[in-house]
Amino acid sequence: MMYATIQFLNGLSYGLSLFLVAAGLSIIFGVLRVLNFAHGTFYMLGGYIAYEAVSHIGLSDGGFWIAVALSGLVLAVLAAIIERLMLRKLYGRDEVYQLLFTFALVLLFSDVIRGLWGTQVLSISFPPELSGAQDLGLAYYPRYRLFLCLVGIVVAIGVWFVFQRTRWGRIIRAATQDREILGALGINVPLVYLVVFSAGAALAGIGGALAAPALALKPGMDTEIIVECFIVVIIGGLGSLWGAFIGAILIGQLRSIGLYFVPEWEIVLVYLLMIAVLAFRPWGLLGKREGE
Amino acid sequence: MSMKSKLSLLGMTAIALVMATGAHAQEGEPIRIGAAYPLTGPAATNGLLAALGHEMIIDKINAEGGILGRPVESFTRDSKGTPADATSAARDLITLDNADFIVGGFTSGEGLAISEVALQEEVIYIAASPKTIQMSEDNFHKYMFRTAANTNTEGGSAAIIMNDLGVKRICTMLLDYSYGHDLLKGFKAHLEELDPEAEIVTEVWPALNVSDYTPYITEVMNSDCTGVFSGIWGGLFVPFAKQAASFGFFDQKEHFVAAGEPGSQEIIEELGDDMPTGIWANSYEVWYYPDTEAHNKYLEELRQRLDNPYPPSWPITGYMAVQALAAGIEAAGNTDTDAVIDALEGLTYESAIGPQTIRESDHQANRGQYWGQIAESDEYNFKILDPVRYIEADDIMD
Repeated sequence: MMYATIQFLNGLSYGLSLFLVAAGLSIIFGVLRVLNFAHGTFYMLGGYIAYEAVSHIGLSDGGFWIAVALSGLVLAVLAAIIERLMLRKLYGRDEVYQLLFTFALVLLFSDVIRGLWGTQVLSISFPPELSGAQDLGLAYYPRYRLFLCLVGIVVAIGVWFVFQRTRWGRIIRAATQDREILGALGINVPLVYLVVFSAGAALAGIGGALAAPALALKPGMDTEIIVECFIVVIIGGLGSLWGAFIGAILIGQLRSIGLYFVPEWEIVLVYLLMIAVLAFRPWGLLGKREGE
Repeated sequence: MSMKSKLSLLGMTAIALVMATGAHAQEGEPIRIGAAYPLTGPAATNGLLAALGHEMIIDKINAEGGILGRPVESFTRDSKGTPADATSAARDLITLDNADFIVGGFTSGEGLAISEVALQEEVIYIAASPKTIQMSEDNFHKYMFRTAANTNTEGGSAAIIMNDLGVKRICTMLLDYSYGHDLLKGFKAHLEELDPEAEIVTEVWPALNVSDYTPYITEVMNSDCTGVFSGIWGGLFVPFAKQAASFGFFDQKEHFVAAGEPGSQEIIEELGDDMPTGIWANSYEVWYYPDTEAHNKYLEELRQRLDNPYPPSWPITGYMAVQALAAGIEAAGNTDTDAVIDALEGLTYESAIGPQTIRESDHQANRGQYWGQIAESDEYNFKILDPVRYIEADDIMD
């Protein structure tokens, strides 16, 4: 029982930290209709920026949290610049151009990161407030990973709240439906796009910063996470927030519970699920059928 | 400049050139050595250091008068950590740079790829760090020599440590690709000889590219094994150790034997306080052991190059490969490939870490393994290996 509980929590914490990144990817696609290859790069940059910040200001006395906030901020600004100066020119053109452009960002920033921080594996220690383990009654579990679960849930509810209950959320939802009518109604659509792209990137940056103590910073982490995020949104449905949520948790659980039931096959399970979704419900579990 | 001084300058240059070529003719043509190491990509952290060791030994040989009195010219190409790029690097070294010999390689995949080119081109290849046993068995050929240890030696030495710790029930955490599976083969074979009662009760196989090891950590913690053998190599050990420690893994599992060089200075410094005290880990080289003249001289050179009092362990791989090759050419008396192969077979050469012998049967050097227990240090602000044990390779190469 204890063992199963821990494996469940392993899957949950991994899935929920994956959600932070996949959610941004999915929302950006929903609004801008751009499949952002560079989303994993934003995640990676967030991690390295947090590393840099922590190495200057230290981990204690809230240093870690400042570093996380800084990662989000830097990514938001960087993404705004990218959207305003470059990506904006590609809307309405063939999707191939957008793919090539975001892929170019992947290559560019992976070289920038290599130049600035080298290729060795880097790591941040756990923030002192969250190191150690928590007694959950059934089992002890690392505090930091419990915290990651909490962040994932809070972000999911927060984003949902903004979408459903605020004026901005209504505008963003309207932008996914029909941008021309929205523009005709006097809404500044380019600004909506800018904010969504920037917020999605900030979420990825924060995700990378929060993942840094639990995982590690290394070359190639950008492509690893983007592949997992694509799987998440394929399973959950591209453009759907709760789809990304369910997809991310499913992937986390398939890896950890899968190891319990069918060791040696746990890696394959994720791909089997993806193939099944593509075969029987290609628009994803919670996605919308095109043209619906 | 006046016409006269221009002329005298020309004259002096001419004299200098004549003298230089005169000396050259006596020494003969340079010996051309090609090196393939990953200089870019994720493996570059290790590859650049191996290439540094290569450069150091080439400079040292040239400063001491070359090989057979001939200067050595070195060419380095980027193998990028992949078999495909290693193949083209090796091929370019031979066909474009006209290398007489090639050294290097980092991953097992690279080693197999370069070895294949060496066979096709009939050029001697000295494997500096690839360890897969497949290079000595199914894919063995006469042009391949190895100064690195192989996976049998590494796995076997881990079995010796595990047996000395008295562990009867063992878990393994090896990476799910050729290196991990080859290591297990070496470990199992020697463990059975040492202690037929010892048993592997749980095996977990994380993929090479996972970043979250927690499901595997939990799986092993749920097993009743008392000792764990891991092969989570190099920088991959960093996230693993942190994740495991946050679960209290190293408190619950009494004995942990970590292959894949997590005991290297590079990893110990990167992990800092998070490096788990009490575990056993190996390294290619340890800068505080052994305290011999040859080793200290090597360290002195390395410290100067890097301006670092605690030098990293990787340069030794590139350094030793060329030491073996140079000794082979000296013994052969010329650079003829077959003559050098004959000379290298059974040759004992002086390396930075003491004499090494290359056996005839599979061209494998008896490169042993440095193991040590991670301990707190009063002297340094990082942990150290204490005690350090050098496990001889002679009985564990098969």
